Amino acid sequence: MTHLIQLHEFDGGIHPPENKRQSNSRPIRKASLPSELVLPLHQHIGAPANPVVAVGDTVLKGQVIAEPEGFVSAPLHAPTSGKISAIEARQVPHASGLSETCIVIEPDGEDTWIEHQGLCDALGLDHCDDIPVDKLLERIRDCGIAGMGGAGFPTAVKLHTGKHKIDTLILNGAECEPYITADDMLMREHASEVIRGAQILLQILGAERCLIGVEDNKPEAIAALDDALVQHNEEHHIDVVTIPTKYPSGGEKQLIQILTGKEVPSGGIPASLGIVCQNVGTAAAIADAVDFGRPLISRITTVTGDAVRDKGNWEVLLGTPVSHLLSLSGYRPAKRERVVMGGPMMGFALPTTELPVVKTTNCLLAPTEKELPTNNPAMACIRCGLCAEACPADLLPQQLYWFSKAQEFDKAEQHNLFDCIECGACSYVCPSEIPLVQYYRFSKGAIREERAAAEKAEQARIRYEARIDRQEREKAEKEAKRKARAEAAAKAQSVKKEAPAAKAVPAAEPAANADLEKLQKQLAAAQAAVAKTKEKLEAAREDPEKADKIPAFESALAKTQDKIKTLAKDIAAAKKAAKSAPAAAGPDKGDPNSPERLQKKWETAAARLETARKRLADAEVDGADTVDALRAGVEKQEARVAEAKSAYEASLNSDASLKTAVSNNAGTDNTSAETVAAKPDAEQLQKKLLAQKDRVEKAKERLEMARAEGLDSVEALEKALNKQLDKLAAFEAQASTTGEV
Amino acid sequence: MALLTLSSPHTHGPNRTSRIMLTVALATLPGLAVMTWFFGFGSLINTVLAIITALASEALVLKLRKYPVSFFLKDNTALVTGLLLGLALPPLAPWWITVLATSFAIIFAKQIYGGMGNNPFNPAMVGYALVLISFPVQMTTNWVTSFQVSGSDVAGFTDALSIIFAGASSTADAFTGATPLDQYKYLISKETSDELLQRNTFNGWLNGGWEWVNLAFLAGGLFLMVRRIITWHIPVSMLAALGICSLILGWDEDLYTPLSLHLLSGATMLGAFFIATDPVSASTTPTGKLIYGAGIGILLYVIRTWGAYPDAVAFAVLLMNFAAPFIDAYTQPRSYGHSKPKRGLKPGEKS
Ligand code: SF4
Ligand code: SF4
Repeated sequence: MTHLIQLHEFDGGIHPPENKRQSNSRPIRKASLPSELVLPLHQHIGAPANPVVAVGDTVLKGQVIAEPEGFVSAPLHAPTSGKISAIEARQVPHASGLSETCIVIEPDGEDTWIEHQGLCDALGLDHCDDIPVDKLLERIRDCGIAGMGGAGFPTAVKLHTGKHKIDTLILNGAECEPYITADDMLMREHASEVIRGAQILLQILGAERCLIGVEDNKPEAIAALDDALVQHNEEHHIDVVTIPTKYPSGGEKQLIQILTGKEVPSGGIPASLGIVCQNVGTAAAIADAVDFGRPLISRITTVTGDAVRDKGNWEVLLGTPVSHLLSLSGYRPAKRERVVMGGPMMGFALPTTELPVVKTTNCLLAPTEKELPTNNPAMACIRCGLCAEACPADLLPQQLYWFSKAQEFDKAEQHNLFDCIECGACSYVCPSEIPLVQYYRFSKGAIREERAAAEKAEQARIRYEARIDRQEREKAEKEAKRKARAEAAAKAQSVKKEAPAAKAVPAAEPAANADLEKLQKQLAAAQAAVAKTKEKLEAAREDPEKADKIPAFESALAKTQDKIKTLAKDIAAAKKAAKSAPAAAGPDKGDPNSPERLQKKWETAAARLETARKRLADAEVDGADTVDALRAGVEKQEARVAEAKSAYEASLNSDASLKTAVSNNAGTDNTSAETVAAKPDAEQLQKKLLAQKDRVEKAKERLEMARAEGLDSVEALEKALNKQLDKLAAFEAQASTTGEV
Repeated sequence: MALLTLSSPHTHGPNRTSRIMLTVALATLPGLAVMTWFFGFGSLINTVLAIITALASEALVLKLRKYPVSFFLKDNTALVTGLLLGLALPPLAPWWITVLATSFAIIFAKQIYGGMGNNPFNPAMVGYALVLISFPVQMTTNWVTSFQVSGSDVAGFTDALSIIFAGASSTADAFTGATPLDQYKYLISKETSDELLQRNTFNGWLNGGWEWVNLAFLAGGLFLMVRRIITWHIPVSMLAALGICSLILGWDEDLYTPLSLHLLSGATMLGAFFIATDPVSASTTPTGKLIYGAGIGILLYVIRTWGAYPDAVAFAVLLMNFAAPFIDAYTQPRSYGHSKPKRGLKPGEKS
C-alpha cells in the first residue's frame, strides 16, 4: 500500500457471527457439467435479452445465444458446447417466484470453445495500453458482463457516467455478509485478474485512483492483492484498503462512506460524487473479457450451511441447476428445509432447488434449523431503539415499522423509508423478532402503487377536461345537424322510399367480432408487457443499488396497466356489441320496420357512436396504439348511424301522422338514451365498489389478527390485502370515469 | 420439493424481549434488597403482591381478548410493571392500594390501549398516580423510618404482613411517617437545615437508609447501561436537569430542599433509570431522549418544590409521555444521504 487512506466509520451496523471458515479453507473447485443448463434471458437489471438461436441448434462454448434488447440489457452466451433443447418458460431464482423465458442447453460434454481472442489482438494493436475506450466498453457489453455482487446491473451501462467526471474507482471486496466467501476466494486465487480489471476500469473512467476495500477478516485475500499490485506495478494508482469487519460495510453506500467519507445523496448515484463502485468479481470478469475474449459464462459460488457436508467454493457454469451444485456438495435435506440464494442477511429463500445459478448467485446457503433457527412469532415492539442503533442509514426503523403497520405511508415516506437499503440489521437486533424488513418492503410496494395511482388520476383529470371540451363542441355540432335534418325531412316529405334497414345490423356482427379479436390480442400483449415490467421492478427492488431505476419501471408499469384497463373496457363494449348485434337482427316482436323500432335502432347506433368516439378521444389523449383501430371503428359506426337514420326517416315519411314532431324530439331522445345507458352501469359499479371496500376491510382485519397473533400467514395475508386494494383502486378508477360521463 | 421460503434476514441476533425485561427486573434487586434491609419486609411483600396482581390481570385480559396467554405473559413486561409499582409504593401501603394500582395499570393503562407496546403512558406510573390522587393519606403516611436508625425490632415479616393486610395501624404508627422529601419541604420553614437533619428520618448524612436505596438503584441502572439495555441519554439528562434546577433555584438549604436530597431520596434514581427509561412510553431518538429526560428533571423539581405533592416522578413522567411522540417527530436523526434531518410528520420537501 502506498497511500495512507483515512477511513471513516458508518453509523450503526452489526457483527453477526461470520461463519466464513466453513467454506474458505479449501481452494475453488470446478463444478462438473450438469445434464442441462438453464439460462434465463433476464439475469440483469434492464430489458431481457432476445434469443438468437432456435431449438435444435448446436452451439459452441462462448457463442452468443441471446442479444441485448435496448441500451440497458446484456447478451447471453452458451456456457458450454451442446444443443439447444428448449426455449421455454422456467421458474427462475427470483423472490417473486416467477417464471421467465429460458434457453435450455443440453451439453455435448466436449466443452468446445468458439473462436475467441483478446481485444488487443482482435484490433491488431501493438500497445495494449491504448485500446480506445469505446472498444473496451463494447467488449464489456458484448461479453455480457453484469454486476456480480448486487442485482446485476449491466456493467457497460454503469460505466457510462455521462456528464459526471469520475476521479475514484472503488472495487468492492468487502463481502460483509456472513457465510459468503466467493469474493474472498476469488481475490485469493485470481488477484491478478482483479487488478487487471481495475486497470481497464481506470482507463475507461479516466479516474486517477482505485481503492479496493476488503474487510480485515480476509488477510489472505489482502496479501494476494498486494502481491498482484506489485506484479502489475500499479502501487501508485491502486490501493488495497483494509476496512474493519462490520455488516453492512459491503453495501455500496456504506463502502463509499468508509473509504471516502462522502455520502451518496438520497436518490442520487455515486457518479455524482465522482465515484464508481464495482464488485471485485466483475473486475475479474472484465479482465477475462478484454484480455482473452471470454464472455461471462461462469462464476464462483459458495455452497455452505450445515445441511451440506462438503462446504466450499465452486467455479460453476451459469445455468447449472442449484440441485446439481448441492448434490456435488453432499446436501442432506434437513428438517424445515431452507436453501437461501445469497447470504443470511439479504439472500432470499428459494422455493425449489430446480433453479439455475445466475450471474448474481454468489452463495447457496443450506442451513439447518439448529444453525439458523427460524424466527419465533413476533412480539410487540417495545420501542427499545436497538434497531435505530443498528441502522446503517440512520433511519428510525421502529417508527417506520409503526407507520407501516398503521399503513400511514406518507409518514413512513417522510421518515425516509426509501433510504432503507433492506440490509436487515434492524430485524437482526430486534428483541421482539419483528420481521421489520418485510414491513418495509410491503410499505414501499404500497407507496409505489399509490404513486402510480396518483399519476393515473392526473391522467384521468386531463382526459376528463378534454372530454368536456369535446362535448361542448359536439353539442354545438349536433344542434346544427338537427336543424339541417329538420329542413331535409321537410323537403323529403313528398318523396317516399323504402330503405333496406335490417341489412345494416347483421353487418355489425362480423365487424364487432373482428374488433374484439384485435382488442384481445392487444390485451394479451399488454398483459405480457406488464408481467415483464413487474419482474424487472421486483429485481430492482431486490437490489438497493438499483433503487434509482424503480420509478422508471413503475411509471412504465402504471402506463401499461392503464392501457390494459382501457382495453378491457373496450373488449367488454365490443363483446356487448357483438352480442347485441345478432339479437337485434333476430326475430322481433312487432314489425321490425316500424318507425319506433327503427328509431330505437338509430338511437342505439348513435349512442354507440358516442362511446366509440369517446374511446377514440381517450386513446388519442393517452397516445395508445389502439387509436387506428378505434378510428376505423368510429367511421364504421358513423356509416351505421347514417344508415339507421335514413331508414328511420324513410319509414317516418311513409307514416304521415308522426311527421316532424318526432324528428324534432330525436335530438333530445338521443341524449336521454345515453344517460339511461350509463346509469345502470354506474349503479352496478357502485355496488361492486362497496362490496370491494367490504372485502378490503375484512382482509385488513384478518391481517391485523394474524399480526397480533404473530401467525405465519401474515405474509400471505398481506399479499391478499394488496390484491384487494388493487382491485378497489381499479373499481374506483372505473367509477370515477363512469361518473364523469 | 417444497422448501421453506421466508423473508430475509434469515438469521437473528441474541436479543430477546423477554430476556431484556428479565434483566431489567434483576437490575432492581439490589435496590429491593437495600429497601428490605432498612425498611423491613413491607416493600418485598408489596412487590410480590404487585407482580402477582400484574400477571393475573394481564392473563385475564389476554384471555378475554382471546390472545395466547402464556406467549404474551412470557414477554415479562407485566412482571416489570408490577415490580416497578411495588418498588414505588410506600413500603407499608395497605394491600388493596397495591392491588388497585397494579390492576389499573395493567388493565387500563396498558391493555385498553392495545397491550404491550401500544400504551402512550407508563402503566406503572398511571397506576401510581391513580392511587396517589385517590388516597393521599395512605400514600403519604405509610413510609417507614429506617429500622436501623430507630433501633426498633418490629421489622419482622409477620408484622409487615399484618400491617399491610389487616391494617394493624397501632403497631404501624410507631414507625411509619412521611418521606424525607415531604418532611424537609414542610419543616424547613420552621427549622434550620442543620436541625432538620438531626431528625430520625435524616439522621445526618448518609444515615437515613434512603440514600443507600437510591445508590443501589443507581448501581442497577449502570448495570443496565453496561448491558446496553438503556442508553445514557434519559437518566443523565434527567438528573442533570434536576441538579441544575436545584443549584440555581434552591441553593439555600435553609429555604429549599438541597441537591443531595433531591438526587438521593424519594424515587429519583428508580425514576431516572427504571421508570423514565421505559422505552414504550419514552422518546426514542437520541436527541429526543435528551429533551425528554431533561423535561422530566425540570418537572420533577418544579412539582417537588412548588407543587402539592412531595414526590413527583409519576406526574413528571406522565406529563412527558404526552410530549414524547411530538418530540420524536421533531428530533429525527439525519439519515444517510440527506443534508439535513427531517422535521415533523408532514411529508415535506426533499432534504
Ligand atoms: S428493535 Fe424491535 S422492539 Fe426494539 S424498537 Fe426496534 S422494532 Fe421495536
Ligand atoms: S433494513 Fe433498512 S431500516 Fe433496517 S437497518 Fe437496514 S437500512 Fe435501516
